[in-house]
Order: sequence, then structure tokens, then C-alpha cells
Amino acid sequence: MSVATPPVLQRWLRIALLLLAAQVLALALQAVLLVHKERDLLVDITVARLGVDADEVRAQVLRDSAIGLRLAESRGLPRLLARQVLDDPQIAAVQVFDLDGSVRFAAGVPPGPVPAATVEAIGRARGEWFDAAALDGAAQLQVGRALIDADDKPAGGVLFTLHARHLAEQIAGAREAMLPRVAWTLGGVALALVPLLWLAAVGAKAWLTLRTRLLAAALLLAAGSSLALTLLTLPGFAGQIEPALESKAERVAAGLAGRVSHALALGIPFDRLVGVESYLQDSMARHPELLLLRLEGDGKAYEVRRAGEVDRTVAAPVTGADGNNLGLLLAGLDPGVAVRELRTVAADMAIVFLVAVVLFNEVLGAILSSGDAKAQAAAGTRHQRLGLARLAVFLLILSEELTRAFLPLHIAGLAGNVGLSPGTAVSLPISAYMASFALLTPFAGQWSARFGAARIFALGALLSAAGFGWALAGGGYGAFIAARCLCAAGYAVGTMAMQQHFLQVGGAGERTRSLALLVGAVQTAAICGAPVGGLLAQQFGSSAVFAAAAAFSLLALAVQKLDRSAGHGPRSATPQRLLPLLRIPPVRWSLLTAAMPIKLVLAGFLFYLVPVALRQEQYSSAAIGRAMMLYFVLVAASNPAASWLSDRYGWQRSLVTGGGLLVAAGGLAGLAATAGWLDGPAALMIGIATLGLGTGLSAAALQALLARHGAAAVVLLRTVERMGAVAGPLLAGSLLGLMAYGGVMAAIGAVMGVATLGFMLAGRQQRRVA
Amino acid sequence: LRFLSFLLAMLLAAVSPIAAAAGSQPPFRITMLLFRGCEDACRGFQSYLRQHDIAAEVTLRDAAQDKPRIAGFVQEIQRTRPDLVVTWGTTVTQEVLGPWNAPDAARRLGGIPVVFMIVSDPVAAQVIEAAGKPRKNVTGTLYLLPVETQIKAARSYLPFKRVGYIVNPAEANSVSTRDELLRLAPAQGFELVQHSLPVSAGGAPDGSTLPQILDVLRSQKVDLIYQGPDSFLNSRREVLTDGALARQIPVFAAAEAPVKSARALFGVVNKYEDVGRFTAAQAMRVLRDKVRPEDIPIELPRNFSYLINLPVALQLGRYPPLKLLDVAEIVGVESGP
Repeated sequence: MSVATPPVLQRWLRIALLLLAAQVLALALQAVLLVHKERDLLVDITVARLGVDADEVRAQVLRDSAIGLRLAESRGLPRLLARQVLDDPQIAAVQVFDLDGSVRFAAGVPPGPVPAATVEAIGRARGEWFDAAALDGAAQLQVGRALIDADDKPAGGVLFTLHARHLAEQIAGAREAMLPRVAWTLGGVALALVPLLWLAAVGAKAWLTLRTRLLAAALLLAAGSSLALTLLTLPGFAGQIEPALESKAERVAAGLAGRVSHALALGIPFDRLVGVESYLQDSMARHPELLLLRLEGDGKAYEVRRAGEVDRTVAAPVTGADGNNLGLLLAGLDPGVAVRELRTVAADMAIVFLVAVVLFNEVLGAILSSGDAKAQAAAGTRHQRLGLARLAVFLLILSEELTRAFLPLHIAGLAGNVGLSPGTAVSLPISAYMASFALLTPFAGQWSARFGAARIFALGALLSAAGFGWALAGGGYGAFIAARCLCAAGYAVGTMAMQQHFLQVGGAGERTRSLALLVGAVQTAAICGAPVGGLLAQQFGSSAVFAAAAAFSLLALAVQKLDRSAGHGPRSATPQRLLPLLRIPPVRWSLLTAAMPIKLVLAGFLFYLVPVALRQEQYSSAAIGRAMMLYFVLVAASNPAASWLSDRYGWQRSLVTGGGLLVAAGGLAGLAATAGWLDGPAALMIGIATLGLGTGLSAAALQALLARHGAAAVVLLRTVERMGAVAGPLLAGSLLGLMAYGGVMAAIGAVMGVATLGFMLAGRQQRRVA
Repeated sequence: LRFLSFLLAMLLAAVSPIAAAAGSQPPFRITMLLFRGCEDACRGFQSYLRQHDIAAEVTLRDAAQDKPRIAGFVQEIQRTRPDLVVTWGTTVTQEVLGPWNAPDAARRLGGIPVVFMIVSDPVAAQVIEAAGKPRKNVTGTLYLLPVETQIKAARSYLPFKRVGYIVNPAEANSVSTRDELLRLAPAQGFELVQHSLPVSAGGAPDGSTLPQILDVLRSQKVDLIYQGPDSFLNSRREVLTDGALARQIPVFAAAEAPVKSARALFGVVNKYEDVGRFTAAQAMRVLRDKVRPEDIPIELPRNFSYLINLPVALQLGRYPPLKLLDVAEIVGVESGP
């Protein structure tokens, strides 16, 4: 080994820069997560405080309507609204409006009539509606709640307008405080970078490859910086939310003190109050940040408390009939709220962390392979030669997977009034996508053979970018379907071209291994894509994800242009005809009873039903992304073992059968949820896990079974699989109109079960014939 | 000029309901047959029509507790043929409609729809055959809550083991309420202590024995007296509730009056005004929505009121729990929450 030459130094510099870039990206995203969390929490606490008032208005309207009064005729509202404005100095105005938005009662100084869009939004909201956007501009927070009458029919709504200058300042302060924290952390990262890389260069050479050592260094750095950022944030975070929690606790205490004062004013002696503990208990159950509620006065105290050390208490006076003070109502706050709330972002932070390391790893592969051209020419393994190509295909697939977790929800938002049932309206674009994918798959292989894989991959990346660009530009439901078809075309063309490329570069002896490289890239992209896409969608909206996806597609194109490895040129090939293969019974039956149904389950259950059902259960798109990630992780984990078993013992049929039965068994969880033995989200997770394991078990074995009949059979396999994927969302979408998602899950499982039984019977038949 | 403009205004006012309905229909003609004047239910009925801008001509006929007068009202109805008849109370309803199985029942009003209200037990009064069996051209509203609901509501105020009940053998619904209480007692965990009012040879109950009965109930250590929907005891509510209060026994009432205008401690009731409004809503389904009366189920209004007589509570030293104070209507003080 020679002394450090400029090219080696240059390579280390590139690695260091790459590591730093990954850290900047990850820390920036994590900082944004923390700032968003703080903002959400501050707004939520304020909204929850107003929820107490909204409940009172709602109860009054219900009572009035039960005796036939219309909203406009309410007897109690004027007094109630006036009291609410008086009691809470932050409330600037309360307005109660009926269904057409005309304000019937108001107190305080309302900012103006209630806009039609607000009326509509409040009517649609499940709980409290609020408009946090106005916080930044007008320093106002508006919180609304739909009102219903005694027949559960909509009657109008109530809208609170809050003076929120202080809240807006708090949020701006939180944002500004984050910048120095990120800077400090990055400074630490920069300082640690040099010794860490030096350690990676010289340490543990005997046991670990350079790449593993670098990866370990990256992991260490990312873990350290995430931890440092969180610890730097915690004190400020706690300092910000404490006053908000305190003022909410004051509102609760004042409300309770008011009720007790009312009882005392009626003439009930303080020491003879009845049912105080259970009254306080009910209130505490609604406010999880309270640890203690205590009513004390005149030689007697009533108290309820939860386990835990009370941090601070707030107090409200309790008065008697003539307004004299008779006691105090104390509310004790839980000091652990800030830590607990930060813990809820831990999963999101961990995803960012994971993706940063994976991205680093992918790009690292490319750098290490292209670093030394001469060494590559001499000892160049396929692994090294394919580094950039792998990165390109990784980026292309990542762009597609980003949209996975939130796509059905995004479509549901677009499909407002297209005249289709909601289930079908959501499943149609997914199926159209799969259909476009299936149609183009056989052609893409032929084209890349004819025009060269490089050109065809470029075409695919451009098509994808155009599709995402179109989705970003909007244009309604129809345009969105078209945009999705473009994305599908890009994905199909791009991946098939890369498959050809990997096969060519791999050469005859290393075909399986280069394909494994490709599969690795596909799996890694799938594992990161869904959770990080869901996270981005939750924080920045779906437009941001479409923009990021378009950018990744273009980046894939750029990376591929850098790649100069051989094997991109046109190649003459006689395409093998596919249809005659269907006349061979083992091929036909394997396709129909194993290949098609498992992709039907994948697209119908995982890509359609899981996001829709989890959203129904109030999960965020980030959480949906993490749930979907489980599938990809399990496939990646079980696939190698299954491949080995399939190759070593030739257990192909048993593995396909076992995988199919496992997937079908997942449907039973849906049945259990329908019967009430299991809660819905747990059933979905069981379904995702069995689908992941089942797919992992059967995929390689199924391919091996068909590969016996030539390469064309594998192309046919992909095409038929994609037909299954077209049917899946349509089936699930139409079933969802008829039954709850547990039932749909069971039905999809049943389809898989029947198909697998068919596969077993066909196998027995063929053995008998043989 | 002032007179002229007044005349013009009167003319406009007279025409306006018709003008408002612009060629659709004239105001509905409703006759209400009452027993004790136009009280809360009667007023609630009319205020519902007013608040919903329903053009209606309401004719009131009051029997003033004189049963024979009712026949004359029926003749008047046969002559004037209003769009709908509302009957108040068990007696009026029975006189107008007759028993459901009487041969001339259907012909009596010649197909004019009837809506009844404030009938304690329409099945026992033979107004209808059974809860689920409609009668042609007849619907109505209930006002008494199921006894079980009342017992549970009473328990949310105070615990009790022994419940005193005064049976009036002269009234069918007093006896049926007693039977219902006996049936509920084991499951609801209380013991029923019952005493009957003596009845004269002519079948009239004797109210003068009430103080003695209260003394016995007190010596038997009842925790609570349940005052059922009994017209006779309702008319003696002052004697009954004052006597109970003097003996430190709380009274739970199945109707509004003993709490509101006597000294019963509490009650869970449908207020007559709310029943009147609910009945008006039923009447509109017949008149405006053209639903056949027999297709409209005979129901209770869904909102009921928890009434607490606060001065009695303070005097007894039995204070209402805080949770109840949030929902209850406090009687005997100036303002609510």
C-alpha cells in the first residue's frame, strides 16, 4: 500500500462531505419535526382549552332543540356566550351561526361575518376545527365546532376567535431557538467527523471491510447528533409548553370552582357538598396533563390524584352566595408532559435517522466503486461496476415509494364529487396505475434490448418526473389518474431497463448476484420510501412529496448519466413469445393460483386497504408509512432464507404453498376484528406481517419454478403478477362499500386461501400425470 | 288616518298567513279539548306552532273538570269539522274516542285525526289496544317516564333501601304502578313498603287518613316515598309532601306538580310544556307531512327534566351531588346556572 496519494485523499474528502451532507439533511428534517411538534402541541393545548367552552355551547343547543326550539330561538345562548367571553380574556369573540352561515348570536368583538369556507369546514370536522394558518398572519386563532340538534342533524356551528399574539410569538420563538441548536449540533458533527473517519480508515481492518467501518461511523455520528439535538431542545420545549398547560389548567380549575361556587350559592354548606370526588374524577379523566385536583376550605378538603409527583399547582377561588371566598380549587400539573410529548416524535426521528444512514450507504457504494478507475479495471467486481447504476435505480424506486403511504388518502381528497362510490373512486387510480405498469412491462424489456438500457432508463426517469410534476400541478381527479399512469410507465420502463443492464453487465457467471444487487436496491428503497414519504406528507403536505418524488426521478437520471460502465449499448435479441407458454399447465396454474393472487393481496390490502383503514382509525400518514414499512422489512428479511431453502433442497412447491397459506391466514385476523376479538389496527398489523413473511417465503421459489421454462416465463410472471395488482384495489374498493375493513381483509384472505388450495390440487394432478 | 292605517294593518294581518302560504293552503284548523283550562301543555303546543311560523287557527274548548260537557264538544266538532283534534288528559280522551274496541269508535268523529296528550296509561285507559297496535286516525304522546328510569335517576341523588308507596285502589294506574314497583324491587335492590288509602262504599278514596299513613311509613323507616301518577294524590300533594317533610322523609314524584308547586324533594319528569311542544310536532306530521296518524308511533318526548326542589333539599339536609346540579332544573330559587 502506497502513502496517501491525491486521488485517495480526494476520495476521503468526498466521503467526509457526503457524511456531512447526510447529517445536514437529517438534522434539518429532525429540527423541522421538533419545531412542528412544539407548534402542534401549543395549538392543541389552546384548542383543548376552548373545547371546554365549545362543549357548553353544544350542550345548550341540544337542550334547546329537544324542546323544539330552533337555533335562532335558543333561550340560554346569549347569557352563556357573554359569560364565556367574560371568563376567558383570550377569547376575543364567540359567534354561533346556523347552517347557511348567518350569525344568530355573538359576544365580544367578532372580526366579521363567518366566511362560507369556514362554515363548511366546521361542518365537516369531526371534533374541533381550527385554522392555525391565521396564527402567523393575523395572530388570531379561530376554533370552531359543529352543532347538532336533538335528532343528530347538523344545526350550525360555533366559532371562537382568540387573541393569539402571545401564542404566535411563542411559536416564532420556538422556530428561532432551533437554528442555534442545529448549528451547535452540526459543529459537533464536524468536529467528530475527522477522528471518526480516521478510526474507520485504520481501525479493525482485520475483521471488517472499509464499507462496514464507514457505515458504523455514520451510524455512530447520526445517533450522537440526533440525541444531542433532542437533548438541546428539551429544556426550551418544556419551557414553552408549561405556560400553555398552566393556562389550560387554570381554565379547568376556574370552571370547576365556578360549579362548586354555584352549589354553595344555592345554600349547600361547604362541608356537606355531595359527590365532589367523583365530579373531580370525571374532569381529571378528560385532562391527562393533570395529576391532582383538590378542593379545600373551611376545615375540609376533597381530593383526587393520579400517580406521579406534582410539579406546580394553579388555584381558583371558590365563592359563596354573597361572593366571599370560601375556599380554593387547586389543579396540579404533571411535570412529565414535555418528555412524554417529545417521545411521540421519537418514531419519526428514528425514521429520519434510518433514511439518512441508508441514503449514505447507497451513495457510499457508488463513491467506493467509482473512486479508483484503475483498480476497478484490474480487480473490478460487478459489485463495484454497478455502484452508480444501483444508486440510479434506488432513486427511481424511492421516488415511487414515497407516495405509497398517503396516496389513497390524497385520492380520496380529490375524488369529492366524481360520481363514483368512495371505495371505487380511491381504488380506480391505483388500479389504472397497475394496469399501465402491467401493459408496459413486456414492451420495456424489448425496447431496452433494441435501443439500449441507458436510453430507456432515461426515458423512464423522465416519464416518472413528468408524472409527479403533473400530480403536483393538480387538475383534478381525471388528470391525476393520467399522471399516475405516466409514473407507472416510467417505473415499469426504468426498472425493466435496469434489469437488462444488470444482467448484461453481470455476465453469464454472476447473473444471480447482480440481480441480487438490483433486488437489494429495490428493497431498500421500498423500506425507506413509505415511512419517509408518509412523514413528509404529514409535515409538509402531499405537494411537497410529489415535488420530492419528481426531484428524485431527475436525480436518478443525473446519476445514471454519470455511469460509464459497459453494457448500455443496443443489443440484438429475438424476443421470445409469451403466450404459447400459457399452454404449459404447470406454468398456467402457477401463474393463476400463486403469482396473480399474492399480488392481488399486495395491491388490494397493503397499497389500498391499509392506508384507508388506518386513516379511518385516526392514524397519521407517518404512522401509516411505518406500518407499511413492516411489510418490506419482513420480505427483505425472509427472502434470503427462503431462496437458500429453495436452491438447496428444491422445496419450491412447499414454499409457495406455505407462503400462500400464511397470507391467507392473515385474513383470519380481519375476521377476528369483525367479531370484536381483536382491535382493528392490531388485525391490520397481523395482516401486514403475514403478507410480508408469506411473500418472502414464496417469491424466490415461484420465480425458480417458472424459470425452468425459460426467461420468457419470468417476464410472463411479472406481467401476470401485475394483472393481479390491477384487480386487487378494485376488489377491495368495491367490497369496502359493502362491509367494514375487517370483512374486506377476511374476503381478500379467502381469495388467497382458495387460490392456494387450487395450487396444491394442480400440483397433485401434475404429479399424477407425470 | 290613524284609524285607516290601523284597519289596513288588521287586514294585512288577517290575510298574511294565507299570503305566506301563497296559494298552497289555508291555515290549519285545530280544536283542542281541555279538562282544566289551557295549562303548560296547551301553551307549549301553541308556542311550538308560533315559533315554527305555522299558520293555524286553534280553537280551545275547556270542560272545566265537568265530564258531561265533553259530549257537547264532540257534537260541535262533528258540525265544524276541523282538520285535527287534540285531546288533553285521560278523561277527555276517553270521552272523545271511547274504548278502542267499542263498535262505534271509528265513526264517532267521522275520520277527523285525533292526537292525544297527558294520558298516563293509554293502554290501561283503553284508548289503544297495545303499544305496538295503532288505532285508525289516532296518535298521541306519552308523558310518564318508565318507572325503572325513575328509580335509577332517584338513586343518582340519594341511596335508598326501603321505598314507601301509597296505593289508591280507586285508580287503575296507581295499582299498576305498585305492581311495576314490586316487579322492579329485587333487581333494583329495594324493598317496597305499601299502604292503601281506605275507599268509601261509593268508591271514593279517603284523604283524611294520609297523616296516619305517613306516621306508619316513618315508623317503618322508609328512606323515600315514591309518589306515582295518581290524580287523587296529586290533588292532595300539599298534605302529602308537607307531611313527609315534617317527618324528614324525602318524596320522589313521577309528575311535575308535586315538586314545582308542593314540597316533593325531586322528580324526573317530562315537563308539560315540553310534552305540548312534542305533541305539536306530531300534529304537524299529520297535517303538513300528510302522514296517517296510525303510522306515527305513540312516544315519549326524548328530553326529560330532573327537578330538584332546593328549599326542601336544604330543609332535609339532603344536598344534591355536584353532577346532578349540572343537569337538574332547580326549583324554588331565582336563577339557574
